[in-house]
Amino acid sequence: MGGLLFACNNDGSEGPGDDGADGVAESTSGNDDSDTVDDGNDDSSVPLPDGVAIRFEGAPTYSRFVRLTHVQWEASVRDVLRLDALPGLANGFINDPPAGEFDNNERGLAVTSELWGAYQRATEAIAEQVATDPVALARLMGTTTDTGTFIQDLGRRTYRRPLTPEETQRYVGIFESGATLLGSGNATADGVQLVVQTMLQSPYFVYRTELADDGAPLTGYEVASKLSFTLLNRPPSDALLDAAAAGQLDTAVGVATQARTMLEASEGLLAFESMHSQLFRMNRYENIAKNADDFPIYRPELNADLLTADLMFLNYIYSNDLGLRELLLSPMAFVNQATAPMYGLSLVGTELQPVELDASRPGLFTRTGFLALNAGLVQSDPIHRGVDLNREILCTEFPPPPGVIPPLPEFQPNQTNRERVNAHTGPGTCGAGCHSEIINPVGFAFENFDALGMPRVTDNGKPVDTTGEYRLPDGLHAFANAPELLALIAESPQAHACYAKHLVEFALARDVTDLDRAEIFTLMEVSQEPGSSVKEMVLALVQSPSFLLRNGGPQ
Amino acid sequence: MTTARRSRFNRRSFLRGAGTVAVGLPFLESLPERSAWGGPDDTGGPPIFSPPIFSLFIVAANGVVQRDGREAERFWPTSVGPLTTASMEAFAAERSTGILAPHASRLLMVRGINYAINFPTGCGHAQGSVMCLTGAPPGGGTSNDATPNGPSADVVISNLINDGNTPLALYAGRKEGYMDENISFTEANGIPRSAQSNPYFAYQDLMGFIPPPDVEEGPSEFDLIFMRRQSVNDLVRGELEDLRRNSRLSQADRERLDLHFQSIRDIEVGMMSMAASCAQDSVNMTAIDALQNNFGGFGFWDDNQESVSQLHMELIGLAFACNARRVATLQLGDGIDHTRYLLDGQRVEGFHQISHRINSDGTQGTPIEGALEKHIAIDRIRMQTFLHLLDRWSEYRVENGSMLDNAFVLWTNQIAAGPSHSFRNVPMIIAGNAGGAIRQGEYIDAGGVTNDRFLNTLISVATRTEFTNLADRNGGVISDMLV
Repeated sequence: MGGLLFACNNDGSEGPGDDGADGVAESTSGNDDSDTVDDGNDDSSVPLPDGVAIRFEGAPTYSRFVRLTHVQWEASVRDVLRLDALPGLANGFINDPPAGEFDNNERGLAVTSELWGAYQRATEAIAEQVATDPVALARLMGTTTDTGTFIQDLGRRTYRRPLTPEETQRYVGIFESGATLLGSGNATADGVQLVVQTMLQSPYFVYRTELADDGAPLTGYEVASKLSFTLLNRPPSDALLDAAAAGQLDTAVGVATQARTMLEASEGLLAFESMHSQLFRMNRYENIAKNADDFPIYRPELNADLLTADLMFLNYIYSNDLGLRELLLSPMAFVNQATAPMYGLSLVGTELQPVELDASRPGLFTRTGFLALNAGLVQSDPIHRGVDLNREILCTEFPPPPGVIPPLPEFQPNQTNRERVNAHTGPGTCGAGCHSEIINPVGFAFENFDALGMPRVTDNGKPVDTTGEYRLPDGLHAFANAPELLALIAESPQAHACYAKHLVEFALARDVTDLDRAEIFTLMEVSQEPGSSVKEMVLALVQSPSFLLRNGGPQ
Repeated sequence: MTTARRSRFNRRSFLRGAGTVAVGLPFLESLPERSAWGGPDDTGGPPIFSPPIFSLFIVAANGVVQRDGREAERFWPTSVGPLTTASMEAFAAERSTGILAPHASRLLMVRGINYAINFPTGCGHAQGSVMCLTGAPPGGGTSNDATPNGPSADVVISNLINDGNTPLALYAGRKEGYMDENISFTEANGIPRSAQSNPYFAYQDLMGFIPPPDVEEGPSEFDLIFMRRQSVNDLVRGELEDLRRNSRLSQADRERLDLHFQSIRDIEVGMMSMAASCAQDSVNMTAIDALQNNFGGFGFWDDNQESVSQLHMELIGLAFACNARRVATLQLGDGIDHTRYLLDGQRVEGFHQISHRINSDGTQGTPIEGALEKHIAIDRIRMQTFLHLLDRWSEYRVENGSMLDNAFVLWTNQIAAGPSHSFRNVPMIIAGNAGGAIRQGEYIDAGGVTNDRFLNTLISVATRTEFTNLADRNGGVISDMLV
């Protein structure tokens, strides 16, 4: 994990080594030079760009065997067996433990005994299903009647590379034993069933492998797999495997050509959605709850609309070749009759429709989903709004709060929510170091949105105050409200570096370290370019050595 | 989809009683019989402690209703000292542990056990979960990202007894993604070990398959399944070995492949173990069969919470009785168990919010009417479920007595009490005397010691060694727990 460092001492200072000029605390490790980490590796001594204070302290294993996620497993079984739809068997798989930011992180993807049992059950079930369905069997076998040809065709899709002659021969033996071990009376179906069941349990199916020497180029087939699972969350198509066979994935230009096509596929959007819904932890939307007396227009069923609306917003960003700036600033929203009042609008119909909001509601963080999620039953929650935005967009790191965290006190007469939170966590309190300068200013900028994300100009009878100051690495910035704050953030190198960090973590399916600085800062620059898009960032990444060469980590 | 054939199974292999199945499987002559009570392994493998002690750690969430701030004591027995059925029945109406009265002589309750820190410095559930079986203070962040600072006791025991298996990890409850499995760890800063939540799958993993209800005469389906799986496993192992021979592999990669190898073996050996004569009226197959309709799905989970917990307890008993496993964990509910129980015919608020006493998962919210009484009711429901385990395990017969004579079961919680999320005086209920090592029929006060000492004591009992150093705290054991 990396981040903007703030050593939050109880006296409210920013920690050791802070000269006050830019307000950025030094590393708590006492490193005198916060801009570089010299471990003898050239990449890690890449200096921090101006306006960026970020640390990358992940613990990747740089595994050569990255197990398929359950989503990838489902898509792979569908594609390998040429099924009409996802088999749905992974719904019964045990959850992978959390590791890193995203569910495709190599560290969390192991074949435990529980998962192995599940693989066994699932592959036996799907193999039997296909073998006993004449239509599915015919689709799988195609026109071939030769066992060896069938095995080679199926094997190439399953192993995501051609089988070796030895592997082919082993599977021929398995095919021929099917009649004995299954004994249905249909030797061909039995052979197919046993071969399918076996191939889907092979480590070459279960893992995406990288077997090249460290620093050497991945093979075309390895690139095909990596590209397809990264961009589409599915195995390489026959066409992509053919391109690999023809050497078209042996150059960065060839990879980019294939990637451009894949980024326009519908699954490309799904991968983008997966990354961002995990980054913004949108799975929490189902837990949104509001007090019915205070918010009579709210119903728990609306949580699904709030989630769908934000996913449609992500779709809009991706499909229109947009990037971080638009994620933070776009006026586009998706609204229906039920959610329209939350935006001060009136619409008819249950379908979510695209609407351009006014300048007071830019980007994802002024949409009702984020605002209502980070709020209580009755009141807004500037602390969690501040924490989420800091962590997700600026990669801010927070040390643990000291001691027991007492709840916010009851409201005093004529006290706004901001005043109550400030009295409890602001200057002069034990939480001042983190809250008053980092968390609260960001959260207070959104105080003109109530617990349901609806606009308000007063709070407990007093005018809402959304002004504040926030210290980015390039200095202290004043702002009047959320749009101004978001505009500052959208132009800050810190935000683009943080976004690039997240993208690299997701695309490389591992933690990042200082060795990844060059890649991250290259993508940061891409992101900062006017008119840039996340697709452009991805294209830059897949052509880079980070993606195309075997990376075994520090040697 | 059409099914070309139906599975055939040997009727003689099964007896089906009223809602239960006696598991007796044909002995496969080609496989070594795996005796739980013998001496060294016949295959020349690592030595097996004899007779074995079986260990089960049950961890629930959200605390219990005990004296905490202004709330009265409603959980623990009324006074330290001997426990008898009569004495427990006397306080059963007021104290939830009294529900366990029929098994008073098999219980050791220990108050005065604290976690490594007294109160949370972040999310109490996350921090409590990573401290519960590790005995170490939490690391990591302040949200659901608390991390353990050592391996958990189940893993320590498993490594010491070296029976070739990893601890069986089961889970009863919804998995909401915020904080699911979080009690069993192989190492400091490690990711939590995954746990199986579906009893149907757990049974299938242990047994190798689910026996069909209508059996017919003929060749053993079990044999055919086993041979097919052997065929698959042989190829998979061969490929794993080929990969492992690659000189470029890092240590982490070798460990990853070794884990895969071990996982195959765990499932395979488990199936082989069950192939030996292992006759127990042990598991409610009717309930297991019913879950087949929920393959991969868990609808109406609120109402299944306790019945699934009971099924898992039966499965663990089966796994122990058949020596398929020696150590197990069972997590009840996710870290902030939101189960909505049906109390007096009314669907109440989520358990987590009840434990907070407010309509909130945080610190602000409107009060829940009757929250205290609702939490007490849930405590009693969970004690009823634990009673089910005691009833069944006391019936399971093994060579030298009941399962409870050869095991211990710890029922505990990630936090001590709901409103405060305190880590002081965490509930510790031990059932079973573990081969005569653990005192029984008593409620004792450990005097406010940290739980590493408590866990050292259980590890020592389970491994028949003197284990004193969980979490590198060198805390020793609690001698008052031992005979």
